Amino acid sequence: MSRDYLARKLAQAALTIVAIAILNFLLFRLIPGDPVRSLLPRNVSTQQKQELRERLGLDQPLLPGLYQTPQGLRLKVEQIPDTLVENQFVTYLGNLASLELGRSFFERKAVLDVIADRFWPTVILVISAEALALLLGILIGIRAGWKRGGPFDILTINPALVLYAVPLFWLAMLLLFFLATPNGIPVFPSQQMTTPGRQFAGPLEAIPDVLAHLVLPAFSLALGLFAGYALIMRSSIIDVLGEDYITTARAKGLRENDVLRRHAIPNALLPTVTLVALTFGYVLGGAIGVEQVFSWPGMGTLIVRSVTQKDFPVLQGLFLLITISVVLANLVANLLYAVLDPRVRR
Amino acid sequence: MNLLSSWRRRAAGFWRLFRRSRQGLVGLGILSVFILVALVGPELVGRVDRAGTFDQMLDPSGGHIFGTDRAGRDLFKVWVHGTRISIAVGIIASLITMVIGAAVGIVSGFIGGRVDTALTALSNFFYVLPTLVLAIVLATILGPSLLNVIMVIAITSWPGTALIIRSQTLSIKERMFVDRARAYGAGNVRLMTRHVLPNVFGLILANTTLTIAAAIFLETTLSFLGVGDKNTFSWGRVLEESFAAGALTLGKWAWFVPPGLGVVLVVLAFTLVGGAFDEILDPRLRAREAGRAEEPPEAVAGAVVGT
Amino acid sequence: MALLEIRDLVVHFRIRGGVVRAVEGISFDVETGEAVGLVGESGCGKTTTVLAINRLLPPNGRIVSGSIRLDGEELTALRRGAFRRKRWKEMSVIFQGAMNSLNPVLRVGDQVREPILLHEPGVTRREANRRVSELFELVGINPARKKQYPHEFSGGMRQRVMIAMALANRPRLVFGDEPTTALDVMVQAQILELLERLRREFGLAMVLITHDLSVVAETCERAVVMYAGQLVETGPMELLHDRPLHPYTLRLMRSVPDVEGPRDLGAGIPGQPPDLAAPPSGCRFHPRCDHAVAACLAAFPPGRSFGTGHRVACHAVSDEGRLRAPSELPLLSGAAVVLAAEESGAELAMLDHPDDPPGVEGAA
Repeated sequence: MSRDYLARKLAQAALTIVAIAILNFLLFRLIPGDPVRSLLPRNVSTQQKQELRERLGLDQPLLPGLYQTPQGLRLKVEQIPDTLVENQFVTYLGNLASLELGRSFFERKAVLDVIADRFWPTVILVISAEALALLLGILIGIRAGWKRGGPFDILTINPALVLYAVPLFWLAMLLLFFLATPNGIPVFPSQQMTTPGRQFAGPLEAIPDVLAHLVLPAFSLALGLFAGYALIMRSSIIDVLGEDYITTARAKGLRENDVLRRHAIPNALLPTVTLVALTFGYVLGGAIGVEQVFSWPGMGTLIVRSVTQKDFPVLQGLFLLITISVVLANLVANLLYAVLDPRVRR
Repeated sequence: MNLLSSWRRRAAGFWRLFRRSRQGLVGLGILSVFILVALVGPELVGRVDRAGTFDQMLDPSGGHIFGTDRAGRDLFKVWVHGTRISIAVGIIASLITMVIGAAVGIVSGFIGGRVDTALTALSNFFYVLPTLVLAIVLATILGPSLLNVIMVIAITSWPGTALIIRSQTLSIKERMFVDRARAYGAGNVRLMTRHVLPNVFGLILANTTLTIAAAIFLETTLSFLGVGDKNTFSWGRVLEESFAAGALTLGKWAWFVPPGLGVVLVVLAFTLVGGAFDEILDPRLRAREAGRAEEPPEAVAGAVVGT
Repeated sequence: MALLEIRDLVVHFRIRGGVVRAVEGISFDVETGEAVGLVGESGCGKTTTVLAINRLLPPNGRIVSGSIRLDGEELTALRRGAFRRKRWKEMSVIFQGAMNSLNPVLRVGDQVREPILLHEPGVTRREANRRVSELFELVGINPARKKQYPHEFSGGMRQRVMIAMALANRPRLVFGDEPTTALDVMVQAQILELLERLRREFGLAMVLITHDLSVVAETCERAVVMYAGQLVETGPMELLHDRPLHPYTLRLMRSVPDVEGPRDLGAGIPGQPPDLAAPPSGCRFHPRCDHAVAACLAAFPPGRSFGTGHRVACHAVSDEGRLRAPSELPLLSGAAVVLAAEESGAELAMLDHPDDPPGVEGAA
């Protein structure tokens, strides 16, 4: 990988993250109404409000000289020099740098701790779903593309096209209905990550129970994802099979299987592998709905909860975490492509 | 003016190509049915009314083919009204998306220079952000109303369109006739509206079709997650209510299956039609998908030379 | 018995709304150690012929009839597995290495080694690696570059890799499909020199496809001239050059100046090669031929031999082996031919291709 390429991609990612930090700041200052009022019970005194305002730093200007007043934004030019450092944006940046994301409005905890509790369940769900989806998608895509127009292609690609149009949460609802309620065949648990009320001697003891709870959410997510991977892999294989080097491989006397395995697949995998990282944001989005259906205690249900409770600090923290991880996933996609494709590698 | 007849001729040519795409025709068929339901359905089935206790949570029957909900509303009527709302939201949101995306794309590609750098950076930035998460946050901040949901969809969806239109604009700009028109002293605005816009129009159309699918998808998900308009029953909102009311455990499948199926079919239909448009616009794609058997370079050369 | 014997080979391609008659009954031989040039304008069926011999036709292409014998063995009758075991070991192809014929994600050394390990099961990996190094030295590449990828090579060097690969199993017959096209003149000369040296060293038979006559003149003992899928003339290179019999060959040779240098075929020939989905009746060259007579429209003439392997298929050539001048012939030249073809079109088309209505040329 050329140093230039690496440097350019790193710089891009860094710039994007800075832009996200700014957007995050602006978005949550756009909330209509007095932010303090939504935090406190209705019957508190003006003085209490003022105290909270000061404690949260809301009396400071947003940016140098830019004040948020009940009448809207007001720019006081003469105040700019005095508030170059003492403004909400600088405070916000300082807090970000020290990973101080504030406290949840509803749980008596720091935002970071609230999110930390919900981090691993989502990671487990997303990774198992991705693994499943990739496996299915790649295998089916290769087979379908190789025998394009054949029965396998027609029988897999049309359902994949339909699956691509199914909202993930609805797929989750159907799976839950048919496989976790008495209305279908209740083979799997329907809610949470572990059986409620059950005590485990240690983390190892919990694994079978967690796995049982994982099956349906992971499958819902994977079914929605695999379709995209299968379609990309298929068209990628079709493209590659038309390349001259495939003719060369056939001319050399390779079996069709080896032509596919040694010459076509390594080339066709490139776009698919990159797609995994590029669609990371979409996957996280899909996970929100699926978690909601199965009450999976991850970041998705946390987002929905903080939306309904208007727990803005938590929502802000999640937004930051998710967007930044998506940017990093994009960076990984670019670097991965460079590692896998010798043409970019240098 | 020959403008009208030229458009008509173009449309006829377009239809001739479209007719060849089986997937496009299937999509168009499904779509016509749903558009018809959305247009006249709500008036045909009448208002959705709450009803007394005895009419609540009924199972599907001759009187209520999808049953009733907690407030005794007829779920079939709710579904028909939901069809109109979901499709309308999808179409309006993607029209706004298109206007923003096309404007940014054309200006960015045509003007070039720093304007292009800035607009492309902005598009790329919003393109990278996870759509659903940004949409949830925006919808929460703006507050739950149908208009806000439409705006949120547009704000989160325009960058993809802008990037596609920009690259198409760049290639059009390269072509001769713009230079010739410029020589006659036409201004930038005139060039963009009279020369670039008609040439990217096909692409805009194809892209709008695909964006509608994405917009309906997004609206459904947002409503299901509870950031949609609480007073309007789109399909997504019906799904949210059914889920919150425990329709899954109660076995009330007719509450949540029809709206979901509606979303799937409409999204699929728009995707199929958009895919067919794309094929018509991109000859390379068309050749690949249509010509099951690739022609050998030599034979093609011979055939082409002979014409 | 010749090393390679092609008899009455017919290859068709199915396309939307018709059939492309790409190769229509060609026959020629390649002797052991002989270099034969396959010449003609692009689209005349040269590449299709080589692809057909090597079973590399795309899915819509098919050998309709004819025989391909290698060392007396009928290749068209071989089962898939049996044919695969012969591939590359007995005959290999030098594709346009400058294009995309090498796999971009595999190291070039591994690509050259692949057929050795595939066809010679007794050979160890180490021995195969040593042979790859030898091959690289043979074609003038530093063996240390085995570990590099195709994009790290220039067009000429990639062509050398391709040649090394083609020689990996020491075949007796090598096809070169425009091996020097897309290379600059200096590199072209080097590659041709390399091919010539290797051919003599290994006693290779070689079939060289090119649209560049000067390449054939330099390297080949014999040439096969094709026009629109039909073989019009074949013979020793000097004979074709000094005393061509077929009007098409005559035009080809005249289009090459005495000064050496690349020259595209057909540059000096008025008119366009025909649409092979609806080819002209009889001799497909007749619409562009000054010597065309009525018989040319009716049927493709049988090949007649005139000693020393010189064979020509033309109605205008006399029995003594002389191309009659237009003044000696009941003329049907230029536009007159086209008119005549249109007038008698229905009947002529019936003679040749009952399916094709007349006058549909260009409708594809």
